[in-house]
Amino acid sequence: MNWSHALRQVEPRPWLVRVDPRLKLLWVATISLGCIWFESTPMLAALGAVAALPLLAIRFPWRAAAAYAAIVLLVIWSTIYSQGVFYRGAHGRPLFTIIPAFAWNGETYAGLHFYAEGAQYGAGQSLRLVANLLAGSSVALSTSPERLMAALIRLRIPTALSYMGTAALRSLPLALEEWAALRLAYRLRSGRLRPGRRWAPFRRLREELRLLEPLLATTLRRASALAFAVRARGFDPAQPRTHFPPLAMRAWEKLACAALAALWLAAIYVTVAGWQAG
Amino acid sequence: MPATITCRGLQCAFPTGERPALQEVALSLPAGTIVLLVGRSGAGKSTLLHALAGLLADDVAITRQGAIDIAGHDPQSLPAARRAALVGLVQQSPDTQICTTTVEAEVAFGLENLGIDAKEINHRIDEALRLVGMRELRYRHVTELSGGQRQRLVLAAVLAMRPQVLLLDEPLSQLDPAAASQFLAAIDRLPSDGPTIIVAEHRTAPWIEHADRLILLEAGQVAADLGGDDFAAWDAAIQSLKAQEAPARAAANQTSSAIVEIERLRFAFGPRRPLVLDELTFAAHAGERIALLGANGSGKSTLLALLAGLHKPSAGELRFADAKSSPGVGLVRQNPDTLLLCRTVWDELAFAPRCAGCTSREVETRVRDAAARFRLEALLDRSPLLLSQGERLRVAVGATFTLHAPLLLLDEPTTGQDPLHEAQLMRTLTEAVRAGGPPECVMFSTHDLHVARTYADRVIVLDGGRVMADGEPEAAIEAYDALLRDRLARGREL
Repeated sequence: MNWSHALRQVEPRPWLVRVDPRLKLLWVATISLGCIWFESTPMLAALGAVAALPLLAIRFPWRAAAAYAAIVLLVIWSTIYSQGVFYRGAHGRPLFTIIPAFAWNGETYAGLHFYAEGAQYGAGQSLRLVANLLAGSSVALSTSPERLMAALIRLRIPTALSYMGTAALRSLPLALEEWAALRLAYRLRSGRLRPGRRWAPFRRLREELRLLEPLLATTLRRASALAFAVRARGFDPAQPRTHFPPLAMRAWEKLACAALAALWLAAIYVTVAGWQAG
Repeated sequence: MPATITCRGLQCAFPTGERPALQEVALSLPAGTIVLLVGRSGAGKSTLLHALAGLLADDVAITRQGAIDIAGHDPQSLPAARRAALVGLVQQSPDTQICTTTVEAEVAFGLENLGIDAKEINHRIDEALRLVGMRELRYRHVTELSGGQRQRLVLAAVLAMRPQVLLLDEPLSQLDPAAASQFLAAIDRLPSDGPTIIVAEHRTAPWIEHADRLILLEAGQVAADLGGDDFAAWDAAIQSLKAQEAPARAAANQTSSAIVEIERLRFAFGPRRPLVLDELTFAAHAGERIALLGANGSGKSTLLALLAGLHKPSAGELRFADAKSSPGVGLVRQNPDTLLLCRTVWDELAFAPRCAGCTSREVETRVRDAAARFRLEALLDRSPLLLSQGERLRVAVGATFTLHAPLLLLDEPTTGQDPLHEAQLMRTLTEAVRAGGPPECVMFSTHDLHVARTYADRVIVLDGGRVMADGEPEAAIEAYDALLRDRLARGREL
């Protein structure tokens, strides 16, 4: 699959693109706050569902959507599984046993068990990760790097950091493109034009790893060329700059920001009140 | 408002260079002139432009001596924004210069850095895009633009800043003739009080009628400073030099064995996508050097990719003489950097024969042979990624050559090469073909009519995915030239 091509085909609805990026960033921050605030798995699952809502306004090519869903499920499964296996709660009771306890060479080993408490803990952690992933990717996919940079600067993030962050976002499809080009070069020059039917995971892995060095070199060369280009056009992170078109919040966006800010204040108030009561 | 440019005793040295990149360069250019800067690769053209743009100071460990004066300032001592407002720089590849994602944002980027207010930015975007003939593309994503449009976008982004000096570093090298004409038309549209312009370019012919002065750099020094009528004589001398280097052309040899036969070939990138190649029928024979001509998007690169086995035809047949011989085709893509995978030039050259299972003696023989042919002997222990662009291209071609494939495909092999390197590369390939291979046949795509005329025995012109002409270079190029003139006259973008 050509990932850079798939990324370029992702198409957010125009209304979502127009939403002020400051509101989008506040939305992501609020989802993150929720991740800290909520403890119960159902609440975190609900938070994940809320975080996924903006993605409904983004059209994905079906293969990209399937890959995205697979990544989300993989994060959830791997976190639950690893926490379930390696959980060492004081009163943890194994839900089932993978390797029973055994003695070997005069030592007794506890075996490998899957704990319900661990799985529950893993579910919470994975849902936190997924909620942030969904909220963050919806913003990244629906906001141009230029508007995102303008928003970050307006939110008092240093210009150099804002530019680096948004340039990295923009360079992701370019890096994927270069990786695809290097894989193609490998195939062309090795005479192995088709991946082949034989399943040879270690050979494939070795070939992919071999591409890391040239990928790094081409990425660095591209980064250096970009740095030169922006300097040639007068960019200086230490100097103030204007933004075009200027960011301007509409009435409903201001209201939404106020609502989210109220949510933050309420959370802080309840937390502080809880501490005092405790 | 144009600015005068004065350099006195300008000297620049890279820490790794054997000699300074620029030595005692003295220039005095009146305001408003258009200067053509020529010279071989490594002569110091780009270094001089970077020095004039005040951008050398940011490069690691380059020492600069001497004085530069542009409108009373040394650009290197100015803050970034003032420097960019004084001197604008357009480089060879638009892809390494575009900093944003949309046409509007790209033109606005420099203006934002100058701290200009939104109303004025809006006005200047409009003005700059009108100058380069791209007003209707203002809200497009940059990935939707053709190569020529991207280069004009970079020009618009620089012109919007209203620099007093405009430096152009090989701006036409990656453009087809139609796109190059449109770029030149944009330069023609600049107002009479527009910037002083310095153009560094290997393809001098398109600039001859625009330039007031020609400066030849050799080994970092000004070797000639010509004006007016001297240009024509100089251009004739260059063409004669290329002709001397050019190997004799063989008559189109379609009686020898066919290496590949293509019959009614059709290709599209998907079931509901438009055809990129449509009903192509021709054969490539041993002993032939075939040039593929055509505008951007005419299907040249796609045809090469199909021949290399990267895509499968949607319909029609692609028959290789020896279907069992693998690998039968070598492909050098347009950007040589994407072909380089190894730590040393030796490993690059040895990669293909090793993958083919050759013995170490055979690997060494092929590596030594390729190194000698492509003048890489002195570079065998060096990292390919640290070589110059011309050297990297030679490594990429040499590394594909060691495949010993009967058919060698090259996508724009002469882009960015000076006339001498261009001639040497093509001469090496010709000698190999004439000697019976490998490669037995070379097929290359190009935008440069001179390259096609000089180094091909046969020219195939593609237009909209179809073969528009196929035969002797003169006749095919004439047909292509007529097509270009017709399209330009009708104001259509190829």
